[in-house]
Amino acid sequence: MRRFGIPVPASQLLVCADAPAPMDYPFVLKAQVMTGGRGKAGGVKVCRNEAEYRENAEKILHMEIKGHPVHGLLAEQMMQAQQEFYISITLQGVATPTLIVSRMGGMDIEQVSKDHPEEILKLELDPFTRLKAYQKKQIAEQLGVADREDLYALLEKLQTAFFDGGAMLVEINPLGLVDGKLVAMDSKFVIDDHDAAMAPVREELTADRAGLYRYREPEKEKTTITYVPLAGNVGMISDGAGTGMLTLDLLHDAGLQVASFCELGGMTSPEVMYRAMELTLQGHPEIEAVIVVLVGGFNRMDNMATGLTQYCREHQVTIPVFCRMCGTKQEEGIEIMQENGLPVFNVLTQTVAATAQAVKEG
Amino acid sequence: MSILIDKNTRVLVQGITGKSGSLQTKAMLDAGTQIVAGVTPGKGGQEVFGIPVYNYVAEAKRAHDFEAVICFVPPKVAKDSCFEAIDAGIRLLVLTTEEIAMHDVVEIIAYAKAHGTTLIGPGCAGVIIPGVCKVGAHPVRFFQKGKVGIVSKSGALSYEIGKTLSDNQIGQSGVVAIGGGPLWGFTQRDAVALYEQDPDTEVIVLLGEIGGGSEEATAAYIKQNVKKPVVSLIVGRNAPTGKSLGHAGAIVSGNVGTAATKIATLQDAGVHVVKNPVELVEMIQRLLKKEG
Repeated sequence: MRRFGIPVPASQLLVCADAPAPMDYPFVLKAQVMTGGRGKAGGVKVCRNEAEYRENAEKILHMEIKGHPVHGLLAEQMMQAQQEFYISITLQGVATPTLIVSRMGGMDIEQVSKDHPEEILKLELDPFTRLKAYQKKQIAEQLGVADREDLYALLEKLQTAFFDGGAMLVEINPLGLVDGKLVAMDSKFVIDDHDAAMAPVREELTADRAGLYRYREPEKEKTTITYVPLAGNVGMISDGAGTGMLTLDLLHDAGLQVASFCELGGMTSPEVMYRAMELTLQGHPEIEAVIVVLVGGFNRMDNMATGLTQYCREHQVTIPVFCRMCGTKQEEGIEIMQENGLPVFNVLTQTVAATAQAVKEG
Repeated sequence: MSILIDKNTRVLVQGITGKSGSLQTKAMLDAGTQIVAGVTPGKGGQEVFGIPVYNYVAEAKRAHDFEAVICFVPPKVAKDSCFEAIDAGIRLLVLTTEEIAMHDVVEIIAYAKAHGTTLIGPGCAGVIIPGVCKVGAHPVRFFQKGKVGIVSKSGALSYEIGKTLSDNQIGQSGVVAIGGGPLWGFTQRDAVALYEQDPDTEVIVLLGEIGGGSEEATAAYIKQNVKKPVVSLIVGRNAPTGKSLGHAGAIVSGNVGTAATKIATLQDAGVHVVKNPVELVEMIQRLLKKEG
């Protein structure tokens, strides 16, 4: 927020509980954690004196919130707001950029929209014109603020942060009115991983986290593969998200527990198929069978068969691998599979049935 | 008559000299699509399968007439390519590119809308009218001509279900894959609206997935406006909460976007919701018998 010129309270980051008080009392300690709902979990505490600071710092630093360890503390100067508002611009769950504003700040906006829909103003933003003058006026009227120039300046900075920052969400909650001026008392910024605009900021944050918080981002898969570990004994690989989800449902309906969801993505190579088998099987001795569902459009079946059979050969895979193979270059692909003695199916439901039978017979 | 494209639709291919661009151009030509020109900056003057290549869309426009563009360019240049295509005054733009920055997608959608161009995608397989032509990546072998109109987010799922129907002698009047989201130019609801008006379509198939609210919005539209029978399969019933399974749009957060809500809303709109491909085939056979 500070980077985009949005006023925020003075703050300092702490990574240990025995640091000297970072600023004058009172201040607020906020848990630095990779999840939301920290306030409700007790991860935000006011410190009015040394004793409270020591107790809270110790407690919060050793907390786990929704399974995520707390990596540090942010000490923020306590501010007394005369009024607390809510404002955000989002692309999450909407068809077009949407600005949401409410006089009821500091609470869960979902709840406000349920209980007091009249207290919420939603405006759709055109990416080319951005906020229009009449929309700014509407926002000022909804909030009932006296200093419109201050509000308009904040709106300008907020939409710059959203559009130029490649944001999926910028949210200020609460947006406090402190001595007549607007201050972002707490905020959230969700960045689109595919956007180049914030790439340097993202790198900076990652480096900060690694250095300060003992936190490491999980290693990103370098291929187009989406791999999601679940809990079960059947590995699943597909060359499409939709067919992967369908197969997952069919396996569940057949009474099987799926160990992992692995989707290859786009136009893939033998190496990607090989990697998918690696992700699915290595370090997973619990897996008793693998189902591979391929319906190639962009994707070539000869490539898939090459990667799959190579993995099975090199790793002497003994558990059953049930592969449904059809689409682009299917004849060539099926031939490679048969040369390697791997069964090929044509109908998805039959592939699922064969997998279920094999697992149940053990 | 068919939705979105027909045998007279003339098509320009953006990114025609690329790996998937050239492969798909060949497949579209084999499917009977009239491809009149291609564009790849810097490759003007070349030919791909006998199709002339230009540096700019405007340059191609001076030599050829076309109503539709299919775009196979990399994500970083997709926005500019789409602007260029839309500026040529086309009626239909199929954007296959995945992983475009979200704010670029926002601008592409807004620009297409402002200029009256129907944008299918991003990240989509496009559209096929079996037995006629296609502007997209659908493998022809999975489809046959018939009376069922399919709309899907996922490309692969539309192939899967097309193949299942064809294996059971149920043909299709059109198959559209609109992309995995979470933002779309052309929505499930838009497709349903076109199938409702299409004289070749008797039964509509809505292939949905968990996440977002587009199935619910489509259900509301169906309840008010659609007389033809609609059958729906929602995939991802057993997906874990808070994790995306390959489609950015397919993520359940809290109670929003669950399969249960979608199924209940669709059933309330009179949609026949089925659980698997076998039930889907049975339901369509029953409905076609009633209609026929």
